[in-house]
Amino acid sequence: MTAPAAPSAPPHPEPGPAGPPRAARGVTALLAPLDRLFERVYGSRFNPLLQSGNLAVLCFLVTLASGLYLFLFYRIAEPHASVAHIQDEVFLGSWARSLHRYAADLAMAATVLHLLRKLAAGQTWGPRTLAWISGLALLGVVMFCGWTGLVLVWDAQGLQIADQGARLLDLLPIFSLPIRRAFDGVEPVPSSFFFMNLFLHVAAPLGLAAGLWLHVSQVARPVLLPPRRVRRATLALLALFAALWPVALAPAADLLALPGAMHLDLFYAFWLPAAKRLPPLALVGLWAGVVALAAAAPLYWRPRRPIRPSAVDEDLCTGCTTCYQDCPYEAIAMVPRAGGRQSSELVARVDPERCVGCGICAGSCAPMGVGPAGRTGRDQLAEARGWLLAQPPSGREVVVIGCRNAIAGRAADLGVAAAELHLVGCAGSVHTSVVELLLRSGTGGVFLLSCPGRDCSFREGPKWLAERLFHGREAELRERVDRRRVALGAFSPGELAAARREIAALRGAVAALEARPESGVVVEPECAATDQLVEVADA
Amino acid sequence: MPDLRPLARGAAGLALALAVLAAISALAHLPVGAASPDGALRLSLRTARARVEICRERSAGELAALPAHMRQARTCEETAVDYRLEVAVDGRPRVDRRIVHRGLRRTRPLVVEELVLVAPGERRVEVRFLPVDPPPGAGELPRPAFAGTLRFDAGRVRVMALADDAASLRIVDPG
Repeated sequence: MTAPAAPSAPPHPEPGPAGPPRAARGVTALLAPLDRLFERVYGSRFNPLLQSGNLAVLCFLVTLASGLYLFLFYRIAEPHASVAHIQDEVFLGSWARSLHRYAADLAMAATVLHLLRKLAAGQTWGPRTLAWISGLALLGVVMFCGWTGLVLVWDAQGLQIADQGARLLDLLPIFSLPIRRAFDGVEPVPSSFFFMNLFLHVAAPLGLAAGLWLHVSQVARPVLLPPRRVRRATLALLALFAALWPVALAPAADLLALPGAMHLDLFYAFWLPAAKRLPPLALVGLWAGVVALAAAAPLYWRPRRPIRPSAVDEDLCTGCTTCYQDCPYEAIAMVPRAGGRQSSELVARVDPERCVGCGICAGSCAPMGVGPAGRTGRDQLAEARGWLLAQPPSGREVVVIGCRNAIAGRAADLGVAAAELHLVGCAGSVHTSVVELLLRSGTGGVFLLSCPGRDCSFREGPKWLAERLFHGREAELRERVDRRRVALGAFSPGELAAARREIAALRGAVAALEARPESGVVVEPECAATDQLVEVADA
Repeated sequence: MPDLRPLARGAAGLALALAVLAAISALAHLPVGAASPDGALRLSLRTARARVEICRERSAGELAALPAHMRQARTCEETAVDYRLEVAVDGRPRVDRRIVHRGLRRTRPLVVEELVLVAPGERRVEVRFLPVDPPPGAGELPRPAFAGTLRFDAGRVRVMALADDAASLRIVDPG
């Protein structure tokens, strides 16, 4: 077994995709302790923190279902009394109200966590600008839903939110009478106010659905819900918690009482204490500043180097559509071929505005005709050939090809010699021909280490890699390659101890196999011109 | 650190999930603030009677300068009169400010929404709501005022509004 070595630069560092900006380190440091805790307990596969966006959608559905039930019993003429009626007399009313409230709070927490994860990953700009901006808009709508929901209860908190909202609206010189007068205690609050509030509370989720559609409109095969196990566990726990710890109902709002002690929902009304102390213009300025700062993130939260989008060599493209199917961002279109070699009617074309430079298309292309500059299958093969020449294989070693995002400076934890570690920008971009070349040239084994599927920086890298290695998806690892020498593992940075064990297991398996390096190995791109064959000298 | 065994891991998973939900529940019901030690007087005034129409006869020269179809002998202009709100509690001035008409062109009613914090107990309250520099010929404008003793309780608000004729101020809360 090879002794662990100190981490060092890989022998042939791959020009990977653009990473997060330096400023993201702060956010990463903020999330790291939480990630470590949750991964230790749930593993990366079921870690809910890695599925914060999915969790928010699930909670949204729970609030929708429970809200529809509550809607049946809510009366705008007697808002607080009807909530008390729901709480005390309606069948499952207290449970449904608690479920509604806890799901709404969890949705907000998950949404903010999702936003922080995107900041940490630097996914705010370029092709992801639309998703970032629409995500911020969704956060705004979620908040608005929460505010109107809290006002519906019409307790002290609801009155404060309504009063502060009216105070801000009264800044607009368009109302002949200040809206705030509705809460001055001279007359009861008109039921038209509660009708409008209820209408907005019910209508806003429609905006959420539209915003969600926009949010995922630039990704292929969007996954909206967590895996079944996480989904069931979340639903069960929410239901259990709502039953064991029902939400209490505070006394009704009193228009003739000064704001005093109350219970604050920090997820939605965190701004209320500050709002009471600030003049309305300052409060609007503060809100506007925060929103502008977040919305402008695509301008300043940028990676250290620009994206290098994929390009298609039309002479090599066979029009097979695999890259078009595999691209997680729908950045590749099949268009009619214009002139040139007429091997197919269609040819792939990359939209650089949508391409994030993940290189997953490079791993999908059997003729190796597509990929980011310097990272196509041909570039990978050339690089691997150089690696083999510099480091002749012994037949016993296990080469680790790891996703840079998964290892992220933790290579020493893998117990792999620096010479046996090869970092790539995304495991999904690895062409199976590289694996074949390494093994047929005498390398003992190849361990491919990717990010967890739900935490892949480029969404579908681990999925496509597994399909290509073990399930015959184009560009598949050919049958002549000994599968006993290949392993694939998906690990987060917090799970590298488990990765180390699996690498050691592969090393043990390889040691039991007979070393049979082939001489004069030729690994060729499918359907390629003969003058572009990649030949490898006898290792 | 060694991996947790499956049963312990399941228990830890359940405990962590419940802890997260408990934290969410606690943060969703965070007790904040304290009961106010003061009482308050809320002035909620609204009047549309602070707009005056001032009319005069046009001179012959003015009439001649107008097109034939616009030669009305009498012309009227509507003017918004600002008011001043003065509030004193136990003889000490607490509010003294000019109230202007609402709207971009100041054509909307005069509205006052003012909250004056007052120490609990019986307090002598004087409120005056007077027109500021009414134009000549404006006629008699309402000059509502209140002077009397009110009882204030901690955390409670007394509400003062204009009477229906806008000529006086009155307490409208049940006390």
